Amino acid sequence: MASPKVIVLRTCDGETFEVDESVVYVSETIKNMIEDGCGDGVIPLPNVSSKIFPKVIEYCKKHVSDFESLKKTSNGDEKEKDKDDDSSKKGKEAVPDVEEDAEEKARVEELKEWETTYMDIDQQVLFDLLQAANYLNIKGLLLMAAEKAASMIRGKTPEQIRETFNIKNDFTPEEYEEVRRENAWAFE
Amino acid sequence: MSRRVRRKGAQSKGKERTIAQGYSGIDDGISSSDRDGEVDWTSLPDDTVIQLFTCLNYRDRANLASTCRTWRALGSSPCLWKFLDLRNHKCDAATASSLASRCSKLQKLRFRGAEAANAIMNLQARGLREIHCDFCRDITDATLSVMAARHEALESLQLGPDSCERISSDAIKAVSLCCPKLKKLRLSGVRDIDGDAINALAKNCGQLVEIGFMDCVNVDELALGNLVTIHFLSVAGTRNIKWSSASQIWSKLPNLIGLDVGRTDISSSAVSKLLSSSQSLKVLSALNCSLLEEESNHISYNYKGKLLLAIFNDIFKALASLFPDVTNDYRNVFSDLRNLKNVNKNLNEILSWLEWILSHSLLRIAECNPQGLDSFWLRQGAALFLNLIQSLQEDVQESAATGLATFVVVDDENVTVHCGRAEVVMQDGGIRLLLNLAKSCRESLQSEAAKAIENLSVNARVAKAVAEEGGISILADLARSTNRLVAEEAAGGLWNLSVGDEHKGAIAEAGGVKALVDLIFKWPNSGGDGVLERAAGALANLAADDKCSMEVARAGGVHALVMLARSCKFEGVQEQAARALANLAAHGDSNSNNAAVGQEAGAIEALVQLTCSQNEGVRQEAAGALWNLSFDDRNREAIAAAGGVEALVALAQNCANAPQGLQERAAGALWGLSVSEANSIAIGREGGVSPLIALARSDVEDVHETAAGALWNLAFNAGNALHIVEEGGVPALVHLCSSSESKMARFMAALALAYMFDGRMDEIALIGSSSEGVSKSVSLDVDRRVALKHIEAFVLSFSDPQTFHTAAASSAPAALAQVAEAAHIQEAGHLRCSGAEIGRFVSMLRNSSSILKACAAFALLQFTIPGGRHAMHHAGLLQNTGATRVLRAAAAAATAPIEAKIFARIVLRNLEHHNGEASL
Repeated sequence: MASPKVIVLRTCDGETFEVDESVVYVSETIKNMIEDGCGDGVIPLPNVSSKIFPKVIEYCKKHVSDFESLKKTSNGDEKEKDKDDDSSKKGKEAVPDVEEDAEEKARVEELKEWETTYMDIDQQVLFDLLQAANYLNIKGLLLMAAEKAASMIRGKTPEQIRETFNIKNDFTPEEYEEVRRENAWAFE
Repeated sequence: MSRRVRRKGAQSKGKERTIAQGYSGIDDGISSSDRDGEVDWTSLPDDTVIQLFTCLNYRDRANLASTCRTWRALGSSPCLWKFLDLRNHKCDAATASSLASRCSKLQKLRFRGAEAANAIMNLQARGLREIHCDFCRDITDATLSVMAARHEALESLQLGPDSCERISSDAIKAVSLCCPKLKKLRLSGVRDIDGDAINALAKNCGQLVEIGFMDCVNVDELALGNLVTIHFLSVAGTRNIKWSSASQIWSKLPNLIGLDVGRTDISSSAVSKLLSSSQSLKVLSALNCSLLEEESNHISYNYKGKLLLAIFNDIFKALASLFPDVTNDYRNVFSDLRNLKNVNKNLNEILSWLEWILSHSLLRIAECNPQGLDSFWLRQGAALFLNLIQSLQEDVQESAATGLATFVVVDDENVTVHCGRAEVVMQDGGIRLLLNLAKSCRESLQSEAAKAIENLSVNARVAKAVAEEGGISILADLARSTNRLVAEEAAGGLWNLSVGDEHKGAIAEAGGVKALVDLIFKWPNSGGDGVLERAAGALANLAADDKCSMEVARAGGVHALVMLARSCKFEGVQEQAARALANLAAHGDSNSNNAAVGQEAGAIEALVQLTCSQNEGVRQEAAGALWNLSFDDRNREAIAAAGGVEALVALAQNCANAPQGLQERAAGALWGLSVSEANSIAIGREGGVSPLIALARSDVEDVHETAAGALWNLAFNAGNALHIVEEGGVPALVHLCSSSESKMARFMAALALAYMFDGRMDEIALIGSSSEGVSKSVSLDVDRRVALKHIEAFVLSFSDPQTFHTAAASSAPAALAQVAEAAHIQEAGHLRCSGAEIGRFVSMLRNSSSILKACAAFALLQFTIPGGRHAMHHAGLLQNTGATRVLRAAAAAATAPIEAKIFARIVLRNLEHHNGEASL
């Protein structure tokens, strides 16, 4: 295999990172920039700090290997099928099917566990991660982070949500009455 | 007493503190002090916040939007308001008006009931394209006409699956006039759809593609032939169709691709006609058509490329042949099709329609549960449901999940779940699919999936699979839902999973106990009893385990359950709450819950009240709870003070024909109360003796054993003893003593008889008029002789002459040990005697009757045998009263029978053993 191309990226606070091209391709934004021909210089990431970027790269690395392993198995399968004729295929497939199933199960388990550990983060990190995922356009990461934030909201009253996220209640009493009225339906 | 209560109070009052705790509970690593100020969450990009909103249900969205101006504005973004599902919300005109400003771009709407139907015009969603309404029984022509007039852009209108009883052809005509863009119309249970209405649709709605007139009474089949634009037609379950003309006319519909005639009386000739004459038809679905099934041998699933889907055909195979090159394994036909990108539009359209009619039909068939479909469900019905719950159409997913919950229950009354059906769902991977569904953020799906899991988990093997697939934590999460229906089914799932010992620990670990207790606090007066009964039932099962019962108490369960026992009016809830309290109080030795229940204000009074319930189950569980509670001395007296003696005697008096569980618990509660002599006198005075004798005559071991225990306690009092004789208790006890299968019953009956005839009763029996006294004492004498004979036989049944002689001859401990082992009654170790009782046996050792001497020694042997739960306590009592001397005398007496001597020696040996233990 040819040695993978390395991309250099600079975060908003001036630090530079060298990352394999395949890894940064998980980000739609960076992928587009590279495809637009920015891949040879240093790619600036004005909305991402050096504090959060390694965390994002961790996600990308995890998922690029997943994509690749998926691709590999499906390619391999196809080749096998091409070679085998129909009669022998049935007998052969029965065995790997079970194994694949178990393998798949273990892989899903492992990924779940990884996600739990990965998402065991404090609010500051979660906030940075949401912003970075949004800017870098990494859909899976954005979903995961939004889900994490959602889990911190579910079942809470507005006051509790404000406490959780340190949000100032900027409604006037009149406005708040209006808000209360327009949302009353959801509680009935 | 109210540690738990106070803590709960703190949660509702001291908001700030609890919030801070909750918050650090979610994020362990938060270093809040230095960072809290820095992050401004309202500065998140808009689309990120909108993404966050989409992860939440309506309640949480409303709460989030109520925090600040920025998020209120984002919460009103039109992209969050394209689809609205109001089924779980009260929807009146005021509600609809308050939503209007956000609904300008609304495209799709679901709701239920006539009130909502009248209100939705206030949403002013003129661009609405799809309306789907459930519970349409009360929707009138006027309502439907207004609905159509206000939504001219309507493309899809669906009312059902329950009947639209008040809708007539007039409203259908109005719909056709107002909604020229209509593509899809599905109506269920309309009485009469006449030719005028159908012709109006044909004339005015030129884009009409699909018609469903399901479960209707009369439909003009000839006029349906004028709907030349339609691709799909369903008349499933509709009656009075003239099939010969219908098949003739419909086979000429030029664009008809799919036709559903399920659950009708279509004949095989009509089916053949349709399949052979129609040019365009691709699929004919005829599930559960009895006439066709009788003549089925003539028809295969594939007729010149046209498919017949019927119970007797392989539906998967048929579908796979419709979509060639899609799959190798035709069981995957649905998922393969869904995963296929760029399928042509026609195939997609057919797939969507098929999914819908199949899910709808299968659910209806499951609801009616007709005979003779077992093999269909096992071979393909279950697999079809599992394919359909993976559909991309939400209502298909919902129907299929409801179908899974329905088809496994074969007897609604007794909630009997068909074992084979449940297991075939499990084998086909259904548990994981349902759990995934339960994790979705749509509440209606959550509740249907949870219901399916709940019903399937009645089967123990499925329950195990649910636990293994991580279902317990999912159900525990759902039990915390703010939606009552979701929480109810989740609690039901936990109830079924908590049967048996396997999963109790896991439920507690997943926070299930707390979630269940919180449910009770959340809906203490909910409109229905379902959620409370399920929560209390699950807690009852959990409380049967020692560790979990601690968890229940920690979570505030004692208070919650007592609250239900005190104030809930539903019998099912009362029963489960009483059972839960019984189980909580069943761990007297290992934790303090027994005392805690008794100390909860009003608990004992409520349980005493419940023993008078109309409902047998409630009476039984309440008596069981009082039985368990009476093990604690303070509770016992509190029960008596609350009128428990009277109530329980009355219960025992009225349970002659009751189920054995109730009989056992009634006797048991009286047994428990009679531990104190004052109570036992009160029981005798209230008339408790005679019902207990009746229960002692029961053939059921658990019942007569418990009754024997109660009578034994009662007989301690001479007045009661006389009562027992007078009520004919001697023959009953003699019978138990000689022939019960239970050693305990025989033992306690013998002890009761020993109390009755050790001489104390005679003293009061002879008081009274002299003439009566004589005859009384004569009959007493007869009873006494019979009793003693049987006590003797009982004691002898534990003594083998051979080993006795060896033991008598030798002083080696091994010989004694052998006798002791042969005589030992394992369960007797649970009995606890008071000082007075032990004293009574000691004095019996000096009784003139050698039989009573032997019996007393035998009893003391049981009560002091090392390893018995209360052996130390009894040994202490014996030593304090100087019984050692009496025992030595009995062991050495020349005149005493050999049994008495040997048993007394064993008691002395036991005492030495305990002495040694104590001095260690």
